[in-house]
Amino acid sequence: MSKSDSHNPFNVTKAVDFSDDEIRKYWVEIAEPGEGGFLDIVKPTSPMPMLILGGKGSGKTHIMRYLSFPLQKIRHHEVGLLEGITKDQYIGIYFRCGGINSGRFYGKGYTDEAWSTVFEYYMELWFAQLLLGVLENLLELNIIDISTEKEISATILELFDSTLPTSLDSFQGLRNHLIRLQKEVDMVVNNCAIKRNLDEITISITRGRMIFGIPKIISDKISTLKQPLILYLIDEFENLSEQQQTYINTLIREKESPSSFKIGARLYGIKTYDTYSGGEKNKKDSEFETLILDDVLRKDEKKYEHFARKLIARRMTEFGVNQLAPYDEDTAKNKLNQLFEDITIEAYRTSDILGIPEKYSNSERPYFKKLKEKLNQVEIPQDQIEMITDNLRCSDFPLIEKLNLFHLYKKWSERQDLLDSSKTINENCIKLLEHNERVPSYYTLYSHFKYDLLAQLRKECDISQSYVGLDNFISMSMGLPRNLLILLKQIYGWASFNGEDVYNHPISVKSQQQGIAEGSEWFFKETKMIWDEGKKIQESISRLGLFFKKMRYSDKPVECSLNTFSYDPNKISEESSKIIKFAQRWSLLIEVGTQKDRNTSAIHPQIQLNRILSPRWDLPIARRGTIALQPDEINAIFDSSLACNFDDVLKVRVNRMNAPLFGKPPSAPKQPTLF
Amino acid sequence: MTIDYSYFFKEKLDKDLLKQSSPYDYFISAFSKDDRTRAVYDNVNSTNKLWLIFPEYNISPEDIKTEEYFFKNSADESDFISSLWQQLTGISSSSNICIDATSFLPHYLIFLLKWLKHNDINKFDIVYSEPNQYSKRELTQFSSETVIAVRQIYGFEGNHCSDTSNDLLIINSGYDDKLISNAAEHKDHACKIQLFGFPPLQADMYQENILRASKAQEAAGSISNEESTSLLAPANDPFITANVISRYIHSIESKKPISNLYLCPLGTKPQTIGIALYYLFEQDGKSASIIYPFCDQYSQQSSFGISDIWKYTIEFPTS
Repeated sequence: MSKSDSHNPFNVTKAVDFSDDEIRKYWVEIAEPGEGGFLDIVKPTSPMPMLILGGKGSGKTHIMRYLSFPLQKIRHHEVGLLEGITKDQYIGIYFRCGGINSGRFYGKGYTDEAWSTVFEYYMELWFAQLLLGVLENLLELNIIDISTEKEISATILELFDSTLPTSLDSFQGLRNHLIRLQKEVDMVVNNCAIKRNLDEITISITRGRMIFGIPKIISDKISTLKQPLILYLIDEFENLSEQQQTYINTLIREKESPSSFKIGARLYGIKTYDTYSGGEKNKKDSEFETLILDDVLRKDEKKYEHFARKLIARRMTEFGVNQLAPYDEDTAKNKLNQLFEDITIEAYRTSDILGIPEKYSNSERPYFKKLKEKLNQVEIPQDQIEMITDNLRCSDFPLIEKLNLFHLYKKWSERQDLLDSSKTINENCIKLLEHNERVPSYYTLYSHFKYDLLAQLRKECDISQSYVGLDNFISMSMGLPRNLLILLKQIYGWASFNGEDVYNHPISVKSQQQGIAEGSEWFFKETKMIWDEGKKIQESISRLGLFFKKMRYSDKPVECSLNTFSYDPNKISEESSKIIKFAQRWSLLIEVGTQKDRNTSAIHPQIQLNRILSPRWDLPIARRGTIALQPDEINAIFDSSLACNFDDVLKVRVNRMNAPLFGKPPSAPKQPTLF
Repeated sequence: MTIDYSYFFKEKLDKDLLKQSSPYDYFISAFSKDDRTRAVYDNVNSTNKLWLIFPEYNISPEDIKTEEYFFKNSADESDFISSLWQQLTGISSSSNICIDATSFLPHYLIFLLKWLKHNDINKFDIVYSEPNQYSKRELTQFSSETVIAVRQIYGFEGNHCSDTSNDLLIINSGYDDKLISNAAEHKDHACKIQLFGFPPLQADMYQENILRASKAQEAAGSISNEESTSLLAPANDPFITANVISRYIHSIESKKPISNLYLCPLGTKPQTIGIALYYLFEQDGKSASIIYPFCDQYSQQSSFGISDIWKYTIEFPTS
């Protein structure tokens, strides 16, 4: 399938693919200043270092780049950079760990300790270049007086361990010298594979001298820059090895004013808190604070929804379609929703739903066919079967028929008289449809399970599940903006492929479904990339998805809108525990709260399957019910060595929800009385 | 330095030609269960023949029977090749060497080329046998797809520029869409372009290749016919591959200098050789490197039959 990328406002889904200008253009705050926006929670002016952790697509890079010096230049273009920096109270030095290709500093006949010395030196050279690049910029913009350049350069020269030529008396000259030193290291590191020799590297800078020394010089020597913090924004921290992270941890621990750090990493990205400072470990709230972006984005669903809509509105506006700026929450909400064809649930209860009456005008509806087969299995006479079935019918309202069946199955599992039960159901049904009277014992089940009943109706009548409408897309992204962008990218791509005029007509249900299916599949397939556990995690998630699916589409589901489970972490295998933890770190599973165990009153975590995966197993997006999984069920799902038990544990659980036996053995002492 | 790689010599062989050619002093091949490597090994005319057992193939030395082999349980390509060299006593810059690249794992092959250059072996032959078909067509698995690390191939690490604003990653995309995704994700920020084998080794392999590579499009970008997103070079020709890359880089650099260039060889062995040659001739010592997604295991047999056998003569300039 070919998608026209240039016509897709959501084509770019990653902040790394944005230019500096685009980072600014597409910047959207989650709240007003002072009310918990990104710039409030990231605290760029705080001297306390911060770990900014987040899942893939949570927005870490966008935030960090927004704080960086190149973006400060763009943001303060009108007021002037100096005034802007003074107001910001920091200068952001952005650094991406992937850029130094740290995998080079390993092996080739040398120990980790030998490489860590080389790596530390290399980092000093790298950071110093970044700082001198900023100084050069400030000089060009006359924020630094040119008459001070020589003096500042001379002071920076003193930071080297060895004496260097005084001819290095300009920022550019110094930076070029650093580049030369760095290239020398690159060459020796590269040749080490052949020559097995690192001795040609002369370490000429002690750890921390440049990283902390240059900011001090800036503060001491440049009066207009006395106040601002030098904020090191170190992104992609997960790309460093444990030893290399230890070095950065040491810098955090030994940091000197006016420097500070913001470290961006994936949820799984921190490999160690060790330092080289006397074997000490950095501790949360002592040496650093932690911000988990995913939690911020998820804890307030309304806030996230508002943010997501602003994000979409910004994209559409910058793309030149659907003018939605300035963003007004009320008007924009409806306008954005109208971009997508939607189906409202209210229609189902009262009208000809999904074309089912017409589709089955000459044949038995599948759910009644299934009921009759199950009644036949317990040898109920045919005429009785017809009476029971007729009592449950209301042809124009298939969803209500499903409700009626649900009630019957419940009665069946309780060993109630089926004919009597069907009569009562019929009476309550007539009250609802003819008099709009909602008998609580009848209607409550509908209000809890209507979405599950609708899903079952679709499945039984061979109609694909519907995950359409902007509200659903936002919900499915589960606090990860990138997931939302990918879903929209796929949807727009399919709409374009299907020949729709996406900028003048709502995108069809069909294109939305195709896009959602592809987006969900992409997210699932990304799992396999997770180190060597990827395959195990993927298989575990598959089993969990199937587990939920079987329960949702049973005759008598016990929990509504089921995509969440609880469990006792103390009673499962180590392997299960590990896989659940990995799956959470990669946002496949999300911890959404706690639940009290009915029997023991112990508090157990509640874990939801990431909603973006719901389409894979025809699961709901909304979260209502939670199923308490037993240790053997958890182990069969998450422990690959016990996965052989999965089919059995699934069968035991699901049989309790299916007629005719509902999990009871055929030779149970009490047989149901039907008359 | 601009080079026309088409001047390098290549020749199509058959088994008889292999037998009849002047004897080599050393013939080195990577052991696998592929028919292709056995056929060439048995027919090549060489005084010394040596199998290399790469640890990632999980082959037991007992599978080799009585033939001479080298094995080291080290996935560090520099360690493996330097240890191999110590075993090849008598090899010198005047030795007549032939390497069968067919089952060589890319990182060992690429490093070996640099190693030979460093040891003044400036002229040698590389042989490659084309398959009739990959074992499961577009579903063929060449590796476990469990990526341990994405890193530079040793010796091809290059210099690195702190300005990463115009980094470029050229992925020579093969069938392993997971590896393509891993490599692309590792250089998330870089502009990306994919190099495909066309004409392919067999008629339907191009479509199979595209089908697999399209699964990585979220990471690596969409595939289109525009040169801005994909390049084409013959799957069995290292020299035209090198030319295509060289011309493309020159055209890009004429508009705006590339800050850091990354090359990732995930395609056929001839294209892998082409990438290595381009690097050694034009990018060694510059802000360029060859990256690779290292897997823990590779498939011992991924194809059926032998189609054509090619011999490529590599010549480095003498210093």
